[in-house]
Amino acid sequence: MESRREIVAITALLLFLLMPLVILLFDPGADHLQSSQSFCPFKMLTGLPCPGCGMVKSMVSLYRGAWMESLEFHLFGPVLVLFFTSTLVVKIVGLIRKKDFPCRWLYNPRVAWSVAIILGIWHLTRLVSFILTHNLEQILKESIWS
Amino acid sequence: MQIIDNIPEFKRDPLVVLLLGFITCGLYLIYWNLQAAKVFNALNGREILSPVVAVFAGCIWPVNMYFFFIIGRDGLPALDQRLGIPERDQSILLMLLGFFFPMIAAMIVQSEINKLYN
Repeated sequence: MESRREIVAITALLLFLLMPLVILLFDPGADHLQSSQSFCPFKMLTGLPCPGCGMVKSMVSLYRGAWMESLEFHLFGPVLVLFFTSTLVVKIVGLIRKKDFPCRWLYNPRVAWSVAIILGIWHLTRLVSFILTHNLEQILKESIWS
Repeated sequence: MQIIDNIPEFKRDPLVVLLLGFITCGLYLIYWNLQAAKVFNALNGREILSPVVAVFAGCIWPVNMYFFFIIGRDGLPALDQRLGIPERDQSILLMLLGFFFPMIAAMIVQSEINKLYN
């Protein structure tokens, strides 16, 4: 049961880390990614970004070696790649050696709340800046209603 | 937050969860995930959901799929057990909803959590 849960976690981590590579494989310049409609259900409905919007673009930029562009798309893109890569390694080693390596900080509510607050402040700032720099027509253009 | 029989009280109207999710542009979902993780960890008597993962599940694919999958597979059966009703595995349904409509998945899970306090 526990190892099945680990396998699910490893699959989710692999999906997350490999997805930008698949995008790069079919669209090396990532031009289509920049211009096409976002798949985020919230953005599709409202035209406004959700806290996770830009994450895939950030990861694609990171994999292309464009660090600054990656941070511009999403502040947490490079951090998450690092975090999930290290978690993936720990989980795979744990599964192979049949040993549990507890990551205590992962279960620390203070760490979680700190991340949530930083993410929240960053998202609010991005949202306000997005609204101030776009008119209604431009916002709607980001949604499926244009 | 009140503690009822070691389970933190987290009772909300599911519609409020949906509305707040929209009004706050998804920010409420991050808070909701943290509180839901707390409830399910208490119900299971062990940490099935990391709070850090819960934060990222509020906004990032496929972390949200993983989060709702674990709720459907480990969280809700523990809740059913607590309520004394037959256990259901809703992992696939919640995982798919978590991918396409995370706010709807949160609504469904919230309505299940509310049963604890009725």
